[in-house]
Amino acid sequence: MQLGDALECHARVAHALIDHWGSDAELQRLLDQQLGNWESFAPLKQFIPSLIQLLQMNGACAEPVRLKLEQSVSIDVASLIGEMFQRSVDVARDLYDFHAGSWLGGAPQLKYLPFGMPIHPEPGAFGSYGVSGECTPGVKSGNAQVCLSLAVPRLGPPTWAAIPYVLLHELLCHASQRAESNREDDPFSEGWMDDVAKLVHATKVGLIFPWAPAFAGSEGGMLCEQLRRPTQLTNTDRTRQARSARKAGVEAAEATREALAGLAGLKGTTGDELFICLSIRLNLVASPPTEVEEFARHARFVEAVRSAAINEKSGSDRSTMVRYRGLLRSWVLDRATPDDVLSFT
Amino acid sequence: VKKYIVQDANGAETLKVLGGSVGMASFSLRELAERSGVSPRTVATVVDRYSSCFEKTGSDAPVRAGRPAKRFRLKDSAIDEIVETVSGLGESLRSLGVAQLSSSTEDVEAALTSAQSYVLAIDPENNVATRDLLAATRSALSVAQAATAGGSAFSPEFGRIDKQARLISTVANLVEAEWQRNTAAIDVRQTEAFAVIDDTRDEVVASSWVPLTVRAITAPGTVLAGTLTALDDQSEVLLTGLFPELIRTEMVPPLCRECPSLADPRVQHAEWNEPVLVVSVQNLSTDQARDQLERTFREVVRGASDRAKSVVIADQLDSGLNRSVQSLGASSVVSGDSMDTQRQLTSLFNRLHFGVG
Repeated sequence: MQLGDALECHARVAHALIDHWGSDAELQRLLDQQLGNWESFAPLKQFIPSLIQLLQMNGACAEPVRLKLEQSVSIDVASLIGEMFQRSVDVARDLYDFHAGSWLGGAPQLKYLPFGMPIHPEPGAFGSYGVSGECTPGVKSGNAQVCLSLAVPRLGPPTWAAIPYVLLHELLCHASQRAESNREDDPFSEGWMDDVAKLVHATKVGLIFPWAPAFAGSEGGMLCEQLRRPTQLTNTDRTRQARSARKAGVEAAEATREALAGLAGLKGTTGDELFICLSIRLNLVASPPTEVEEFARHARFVEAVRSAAINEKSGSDRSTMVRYRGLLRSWVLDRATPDDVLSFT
Repeated sequence: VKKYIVQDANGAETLKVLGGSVGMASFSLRELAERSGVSPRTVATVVDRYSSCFEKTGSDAPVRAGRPAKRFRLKDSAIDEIVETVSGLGESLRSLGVAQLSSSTEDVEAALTSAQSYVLAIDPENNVATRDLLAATRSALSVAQAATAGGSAFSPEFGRIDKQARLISTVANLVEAEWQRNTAAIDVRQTEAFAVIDDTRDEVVASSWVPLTVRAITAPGTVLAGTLTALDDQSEVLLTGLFPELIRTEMVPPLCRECPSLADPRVQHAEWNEPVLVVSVQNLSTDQARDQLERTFREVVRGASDRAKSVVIADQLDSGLNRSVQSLGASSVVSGDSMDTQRQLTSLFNRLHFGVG
């Protein structure tokens, strides 16, 4: 079977069997096995009949499963991915419009690509789910370009259900970012903004993936957590660097969320709303002239916040975090700009 | 490998040992035991059981009575297999509640990875970015320090982590001096950096140690980390002219009567120091000079240790002459005797000394 056909078949099966995943261990085991064998599997038209036969031979093809598999041949994968993408774009654009009155992503475009094994550029970037995204920001090309990479041997229901998180990450973190660089070790755009993606994913996943929102919520959440762990054994240096940056950004973001939760009363809103608003505005702050200066500013800001929070917890320095809270308070009261916040040292 | 780990009651320990070996350039059984948090006896069992994956690299110098500790390294050809096995089994063991690495270790290592990527991104010519990246590096180091202070679970890791932090910190100090264009401070910081580089080479993983070492070497300092052996009077005159700090040293056994060894007194030289052999040649285009050079290589250089590196400094050089000198076995050939040569030689000698490309 060709790689593109395998993506089509696996995505159809993944979508069709979402409800049965997790409740039938044998079905799950057999499907996992078959995903990895895509190269030797039957041609496109015989895929579903062969799969049904295999499941029946192993006693893992209950009537509802058989029916869903038979109906899956009419599933239009491109259209489903397109739907998920368009809904994610709407969510991201609405948030930028609402909180900042500005969306720099234009009309984002999507392409998706199948990958075989070994996965390139590296397994670590995909996590164990075998799905990753890339985005060229709208400031570069007018319309942001999102590229979704799907590793065919992993494309079962969990990977399918994790797609909304990947799309939200690309759209919220990168599509409308002011910075032109898309360095994967930028702790702000990859880490801090990922915390925004995680929050939004938790509340909006039902809109994007109405077929099994709870499942998509948990699978997307698990992929998100996985990509924040720079476990050394499974990663190349490059991936470890990217994940360490993500972790740094997330820790700074979480310290900020916590601080803003204590200031929510000043605006009669929630800490998370304030956090999303601040983050989006920070992501829109005018960029320094060079890529390395953008990266350096983000790194300095994130690390300053992260170390202030950690040093406060350890008791070695409380004053820096107090100063940061004061700055956030000023921002909440419109006495400080996002640029002022980003200049915190 | 998989079969054993799954069936063996000590699968988690095996996993820790194999996983621990991936991150170490070389190790003694004791060092690997400390890194992986299991007993040296278990480490010995695992290394013996998977002997096809490891190779001996020599022995430590004995520090007390008894046999010196053997050193091992993971074979390059076995790394992929081990990483794949360890990562696959790590997932299954995690699901049983067995942590692959303590989270505090992971926190510290992540902070150090970030600190390293910041310091290596610095270009001192970019004023604004350098200021920000230096601040980010130091903040990330303070995060690592705070996590270190808070965690006891990774105490076996502490030595290695501490050395990596010191290496990053010392390179950051050097880069700062470079940014401030303070030549005296560059030499002081480079001297400090070279001492830390020497001290950390066996413990910090190569993917950290090499780029940080290269960064320290490329700073525009005048410090020579290793010793030099001038193969004749003329070479000594040239070297001491280019590097006035150099003094004769007795710590390197002489190769021949007229071959003084020279060292930079600002640097504390390790005992294993292997000098770089230096010979300067004038009028290299003449047959007489080439014959003399050939004789020097035949009689002196080839009699030195197998690992000896040699540098030829020639006042006339074209690609043909360069090739003919290289064919004698010279590690490098350098042209001229100007300030440019001094910078070029500083970097070259330090690269040869630390063995980085």
